Amino acid sequence: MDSLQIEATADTPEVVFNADSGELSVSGKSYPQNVFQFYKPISDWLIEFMRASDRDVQLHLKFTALNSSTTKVIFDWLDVLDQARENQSRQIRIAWHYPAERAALLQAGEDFREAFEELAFELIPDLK
Amino acid sequence: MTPGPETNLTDIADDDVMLAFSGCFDQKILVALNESLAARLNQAGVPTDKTHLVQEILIEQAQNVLQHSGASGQNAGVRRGFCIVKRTGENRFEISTGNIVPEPKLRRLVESVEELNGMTPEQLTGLFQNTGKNGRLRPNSTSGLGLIQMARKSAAPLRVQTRPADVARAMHYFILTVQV
Repeated sequence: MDSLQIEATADTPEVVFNADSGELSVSGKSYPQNVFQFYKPISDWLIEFMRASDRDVQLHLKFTALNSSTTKVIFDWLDVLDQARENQSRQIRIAWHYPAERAALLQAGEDFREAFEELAFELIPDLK
Repeated sequence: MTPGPETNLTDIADDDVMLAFSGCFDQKILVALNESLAARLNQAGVPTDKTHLVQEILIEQAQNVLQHSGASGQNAGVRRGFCIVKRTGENRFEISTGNIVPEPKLRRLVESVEELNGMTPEQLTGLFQNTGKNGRLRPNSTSGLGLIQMARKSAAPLRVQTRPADVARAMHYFILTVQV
């Protein structure tokens, strides 16, 4: 399947989902008014990738701002990956990157990690 | 002063007001307001983490206004409301938004806020994670997480003010204030 690349805007992130390597990356601000509309094709791509490919997956989440509806999308993605972890043999790793001084973004990462305890989920304070 | 629907913006044009807007707005205007707010807070020497927190609350509240405003006959995505960000102490802020909603929606919003205000931080976190995992995001809708997040992040109970806007059409002002 084709890789997916979407450029960042003032309120939406850059998305780079590489179908060949299994490296999936989302970077930047995410607070579009219609989150469903923006993320639908990206979520569809992820579901199809998990169905059609047996590549290991590394999902890098590098948000500098996100609204609550974006948070819901991430919950849904982690649910897809958690189900794959249960039913497939490939490695799945999630890296939540955040600026060290941003307590709210650390809290967001901890929310996801607590909600999906079985997933390999790393909190990395390396964003500027 | 506490902002309300009859607030004249010239009355609150003091140094403690970081942002004040009233009128029709949409997502593009919200992005511009958010950037203006960041610049103003930066200029005032507010720490980066607090600046981002105030921005997050403003975005969440303003997008609720965009989602829930009861105004009709306007362009898609354009809604009328107001937002005020005011400094209340050293690195302490109040973020208020107001809009007009129909009575049934007002009742649901007030009940939701009262319920959230009665929860402990642990209960709010549990509700947030449960709603995040089990809720459903639909087209042209919100996730239901916004109010929960604001309750979690607010330093005090969420504050609601209501008053009739158009009695004949059962429309009401709904004003929400978050303190961080």
